[in-house]
Amino acid sequence: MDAPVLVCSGLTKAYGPTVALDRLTISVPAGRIVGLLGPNGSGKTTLLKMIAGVAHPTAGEVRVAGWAPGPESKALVSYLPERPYFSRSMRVRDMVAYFADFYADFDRALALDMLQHLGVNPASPCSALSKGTVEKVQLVLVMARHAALYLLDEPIGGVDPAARDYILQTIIRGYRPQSTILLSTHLVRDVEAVLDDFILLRYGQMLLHAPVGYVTCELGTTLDAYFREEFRC
Amino acid sequence: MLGKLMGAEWRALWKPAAILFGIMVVAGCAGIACFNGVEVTSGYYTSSTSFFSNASVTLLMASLFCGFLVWASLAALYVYVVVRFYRTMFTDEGYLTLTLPVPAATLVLAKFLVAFLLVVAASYLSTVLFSAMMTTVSSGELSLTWMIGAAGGMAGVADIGSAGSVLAGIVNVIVMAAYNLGLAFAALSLGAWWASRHKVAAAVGLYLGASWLLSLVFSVFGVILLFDSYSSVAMTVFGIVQMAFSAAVAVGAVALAIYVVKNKVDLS
Repeated sequence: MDAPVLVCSGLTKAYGPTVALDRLTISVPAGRIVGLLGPNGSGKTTLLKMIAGVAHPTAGEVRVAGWAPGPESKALVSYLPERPYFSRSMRVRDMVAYFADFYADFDRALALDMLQHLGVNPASPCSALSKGTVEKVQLVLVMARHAALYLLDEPIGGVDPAARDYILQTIIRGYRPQSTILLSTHLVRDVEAVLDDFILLRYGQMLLHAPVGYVTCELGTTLDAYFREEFRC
Repeated sequence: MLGKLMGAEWRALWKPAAILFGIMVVAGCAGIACFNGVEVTSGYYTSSTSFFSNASVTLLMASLFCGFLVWASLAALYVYVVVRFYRTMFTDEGYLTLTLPVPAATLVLAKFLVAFLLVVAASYLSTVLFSAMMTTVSSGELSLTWMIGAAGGMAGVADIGSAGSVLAGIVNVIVMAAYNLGLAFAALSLGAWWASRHKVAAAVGLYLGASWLLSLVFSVFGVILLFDSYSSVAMTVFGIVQMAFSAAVAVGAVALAIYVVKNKVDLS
């Protein structure tokens, strides 16, 4: 197995009395597409934020290719947060230029090609784009980086099924075999075909970290059915 | 990376800054013209009709409004750069800023330096415009040099010669811009860290509290220093110490903002 691109050891995050993530220990090898699965409030977003370096652990540590969160790890991580982060005053081409300026691994030609495929005019101001298009443009920028680790937080949450297909195609198109994708979602059925492994979270604790084949071959069910059974209300 | 970040910051700020600079210049020139008009119309005041008195009062009100507009434009620029710092660091836009492969110190410094340069330029412009307006209305009793020196506070108005006075004014404008921006950046960072809700309100409270406390310290120090030995030398010393202390506060505040951004702030 390849050396781990991501290692979390005893990772804990508490917001006051609420523990969002509780002593999580995982090791994710390079070259895998990993689903981060769990119901709302299970700690998926918190985990991704700490890996991306926009939240600080209460205890434990995160390492990306051996680096603690900082400039070195951020150069390796391409992060798609849940929320749109574009300044409404910028144009799409400004965002492309911004990414090209700051990320050495950003592929401008690929980004422009993907934008053209999406039908977005680079001269469009971000304020003129619909919410769904903003999300797609953000995904294009994130996937146009040749990063070691992609963190995609709910990339298909809140969009229509046709857009989900486009987003998943974009992810697969941008994926390089040596990279790792950590993709958080609770829409398991839509993503299970593209996943190699999955991490199941509940109440901030890890229930299971296994290959998808464990569920399909050994348990004889689908990941979606397993998820529904595990988290039945 | 600092240069690239400053370039990005400049591209985001130059348009609103240019508009505010434009308003300042137009309002300042209009103010000077109105003050001149007051001088002219008041010459006819005694001998004539209410037209001249009405015109004089109207022009005086217009000139005061122009003066307010210059001040308001400076304040608006200051508020704009501070709000931009908050928006790009601690709101959703922070997801873009804080995931850049750049040290937190470089991020904060780039924003601080561009904001600082703009505020310093606007402060000088407003000082010159106010000075020109006041020189007009004072009929030559106040010189431009004295007015710029007055921007230097105690050190500027002390008897240190016109060159020293102007130098004090120039240095004090730089120091006060850094002081106010540094305090604002630190207050916003601490507010984003400490407050779970109403982060901006918390930051405003911190800023006002810290400003008030530091002003109190300056005042007490000034009274102690000048109470027994009120002299030009004492005033100059007090002015210089005040500037040095303000500069130290500015450096400390920026360092605090960097520390909080790097180690404490979690994006919500």
